[in-house]
Amino acid sequence: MSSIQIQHFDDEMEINMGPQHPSTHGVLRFRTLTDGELVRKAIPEIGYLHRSIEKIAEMVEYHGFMPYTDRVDYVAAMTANHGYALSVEKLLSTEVPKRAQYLRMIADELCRIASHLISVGTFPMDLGAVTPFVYALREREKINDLIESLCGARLTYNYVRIGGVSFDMPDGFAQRVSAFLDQFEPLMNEFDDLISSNNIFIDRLGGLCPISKELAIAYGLVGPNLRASGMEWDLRKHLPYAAYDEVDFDIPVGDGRCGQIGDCFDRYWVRIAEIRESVKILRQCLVQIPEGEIQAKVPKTIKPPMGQSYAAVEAARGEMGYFVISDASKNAYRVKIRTGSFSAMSIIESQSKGLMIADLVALIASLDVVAPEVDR
Amino acid sequence: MNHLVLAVEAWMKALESYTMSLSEDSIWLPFFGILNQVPQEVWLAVSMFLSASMILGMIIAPIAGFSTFVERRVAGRIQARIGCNRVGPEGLLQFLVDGVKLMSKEDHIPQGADRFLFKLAPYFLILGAFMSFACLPFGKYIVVSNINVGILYLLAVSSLVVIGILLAGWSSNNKWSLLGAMRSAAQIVSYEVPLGMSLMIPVMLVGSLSLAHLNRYQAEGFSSWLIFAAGPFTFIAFFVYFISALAEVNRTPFDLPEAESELVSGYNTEYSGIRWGLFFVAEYANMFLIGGIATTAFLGGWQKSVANIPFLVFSLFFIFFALLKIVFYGPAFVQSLGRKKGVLFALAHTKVRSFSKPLVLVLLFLSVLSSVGLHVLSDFWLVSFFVFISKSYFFVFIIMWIRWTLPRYRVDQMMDLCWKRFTPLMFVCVMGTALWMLWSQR
Amino acid sequence: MTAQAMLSQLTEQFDESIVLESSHEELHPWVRVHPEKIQEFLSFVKNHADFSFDFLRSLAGVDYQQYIEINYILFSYAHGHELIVKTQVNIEQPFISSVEKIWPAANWYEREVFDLLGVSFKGHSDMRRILLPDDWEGHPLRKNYREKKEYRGVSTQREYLTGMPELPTLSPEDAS
Repeated sequence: MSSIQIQHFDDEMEINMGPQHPSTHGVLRFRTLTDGELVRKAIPEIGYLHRSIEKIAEMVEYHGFMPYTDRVDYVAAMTANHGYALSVEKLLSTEVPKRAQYLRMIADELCRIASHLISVGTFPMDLGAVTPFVYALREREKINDLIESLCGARLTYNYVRIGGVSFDMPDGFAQRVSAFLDQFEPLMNEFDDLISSNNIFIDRLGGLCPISKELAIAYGLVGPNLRASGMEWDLRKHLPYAAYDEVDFDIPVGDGRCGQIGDCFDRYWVRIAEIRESVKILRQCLVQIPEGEIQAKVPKTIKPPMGQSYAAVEAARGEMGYFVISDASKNAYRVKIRTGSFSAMSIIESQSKGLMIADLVALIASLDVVAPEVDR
Repeated sequence: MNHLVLAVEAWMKALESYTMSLSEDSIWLPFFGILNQVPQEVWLAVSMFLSASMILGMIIAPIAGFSTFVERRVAGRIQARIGCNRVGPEGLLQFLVDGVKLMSKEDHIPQGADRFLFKLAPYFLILGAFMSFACLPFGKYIVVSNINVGILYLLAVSSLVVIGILLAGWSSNNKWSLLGAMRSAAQIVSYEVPLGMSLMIPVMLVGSLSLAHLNRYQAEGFSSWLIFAAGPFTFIAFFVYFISALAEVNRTPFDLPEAESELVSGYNTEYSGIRWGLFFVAEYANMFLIGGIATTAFLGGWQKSVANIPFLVFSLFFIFFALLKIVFYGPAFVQSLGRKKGVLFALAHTKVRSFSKPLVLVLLFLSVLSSVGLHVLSDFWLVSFFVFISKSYFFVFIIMWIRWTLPRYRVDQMMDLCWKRFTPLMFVCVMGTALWMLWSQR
Repeated sequence: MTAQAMLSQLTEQFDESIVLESSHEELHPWVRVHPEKIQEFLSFVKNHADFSFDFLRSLAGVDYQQYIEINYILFSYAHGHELIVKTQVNIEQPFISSVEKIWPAANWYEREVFDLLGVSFKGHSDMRRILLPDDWEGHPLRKNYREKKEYRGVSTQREYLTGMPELPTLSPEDAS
């Protein structure tokens, strides 16, 4: 959130896009230099949702920071919980019970589906098709109901605890989840019929703004955005945490099916494919989940030994890492949160040159930028 | 025009004879004396003004309002929700409430806006939309002015919309509005070319610009419809007309001027209250106009023909539901009236009787019979009006269906479609139709 | 490559004036590098085939009150190994060279560190605040940061708005 003087040429117009603009999900702002419809440059201005979560982390105890992690990414809060718990557990070298790990995975994957539904739902809406959004949100509501029965909250869950989870599955939860999955999977095909194979949609996105693998890595893109660029990398597979090494799933990778590798359509398609993979993981988790404890023995007031730990989870928007530094007191000395949207946002300025205004909107939507994750 | 002159002459005669019949000491005498002095031209102007406002009030405003209701219900149905169903029966009167709400809202004009032009802009849109209705033949005798250059007039008048949108975008002093207006100007001016050419083809076939002649040409039923008149060429022309017309009224997939996810709300971003509402009245009126022109120029107009499927469907629908309501509410309603409790009380406390399948089937059969009978047997002018309305609304429905299904084009793709696909295609079609006419004459 | 082998190769490559300290026994292998040589060191570990740290996971600044420590959390997709590079910046004159040329991702990370901790990166293309407004006073992640009572006439304190008695602002010293 800063104001610089931008040098104008005579034929340039500076348009302010956001912070209140229908296509900027949350409060993002772009200062856009355009030549008519053509974008010369779009400069992201962030910070409108900055809540100093990293500062708060230094002021509250380890357990007390967990609700704040919900607010780091309130679209998929479960993974944000999980990442922080992992990092502190690493500092404490706590062994999390198997059942808790599976519960975390179930919660994570439900949350990932919910988050990706928002992403693939708002994407067509940014291109002018409103109906797919409603369909996606209808399914998301069902997931919210499931998670509500699991932990009592619909948006900011605060479900994961350091060393475990807060509640075990309620009665009949597994049946309800698998009933939901049975009903949900065919609906994804319906969604594809509705929008993914739509000619206008493909014409708009195919070949638009391809981000090469090298560029994606250099800018630190993670998660679906990185995979869309053709990089087969998934923390759940390559650096497994929880019990992801015990389930079988594929890593969808962008293949340029409607243009070039790493274009906007690939980014959309990878998310659609990931929803299907999450369904696969969920089905296995429901079968494999063992009986047992859901919470390891963790002291009420955590005082981890001096040291630092970085632990990352594969969140819906890619690697979400918590770099926690402990000075052996009851508060963390420093918590640095690494989010996927922050790096996704930073690539927009260099990619926006020469796009149309409508394409810029598509690019922002395809990167699935969520404002709270950018600003923290 | 002739009808109007005759009517005015009759009125003046009646006025004169009434004045004669008044007694000498009547206090009304001076008043009628003055009325008798009013020249015929003034009466003519007054009657024209009255009939024009009748058209606006009686046809276009309800059409626009009803279209918003239909849009909301169709959108609801497509999006797996209900839509408005609270105000009036099934939410039919929602548009009235919306109108009252819009009128009571603050009329906000941004600082730095050109106030005069800002206020003027919506009227251009309204004017363009409403003037077009003047020569649209709604039914057998239902046409305001049967002018002999009907299609030319329609194209000319509907171009007023561009001026309105440009004014709105420019005077708002908002960059998003300006972008929307520029997009709109480019889009409407471009699509006027294929649109005009596609309407050229019926004109060539009929040999007249008059909409009445177009209607008369298609009087022999289904096979004489202009969409089938010159083989593939008119068929293509019809679809090109429809798509171009979508672009003309800025509906999805060509809703770039008001692309809400890109340009906030495009040219009407800064408008509020009833001024904003006027844009939408114009938009919905224009939507109906597309259907009306398509019906008149390609699909037989108000002519009764064997395959007026939309009409059959609509009338079936209405008759069926009317019968259903009568059968299920009627007896209980009459019963409660019999208890002398008043109509409102009766309405409120009427209990619906449970469904029975055979009864529904009988009702369905009855409604099929009556709608077909109404369609085939009756030569009543009102039937022709409903034929026209139902056909036009069929297109309005399709436009809405498209609106809630498709994403929108990008600016360059839209221009591509117009100049690289439709315009050459229409040249081919016009040539083809000409050759077809030569060949079929021989 | 194991952490131990990696660190020993690094200490062989650079003498003690550059790599000041290193450890592979903690949770993550880390090296402490002389701040003057940070750019040279990082471009070496990025480009050398044995290390090829192509992914800058994060860049975290930490205020240790005597000095500010910058942590470059690196990861290599090719080898799958990780390394944390630390360097200490003088808190009185917090200047360090930018690594934006090595990883473009560092552009925004460095701006964030500049914004929240007040470390200036030399050679950065666009060194300005990123999250906070330009005229914000102070750098919130500094341990001695005290929030101003108001910003441009807007109170930053919730109690003030509700008419509650004014509470002392929470600071790390109070909390611990």
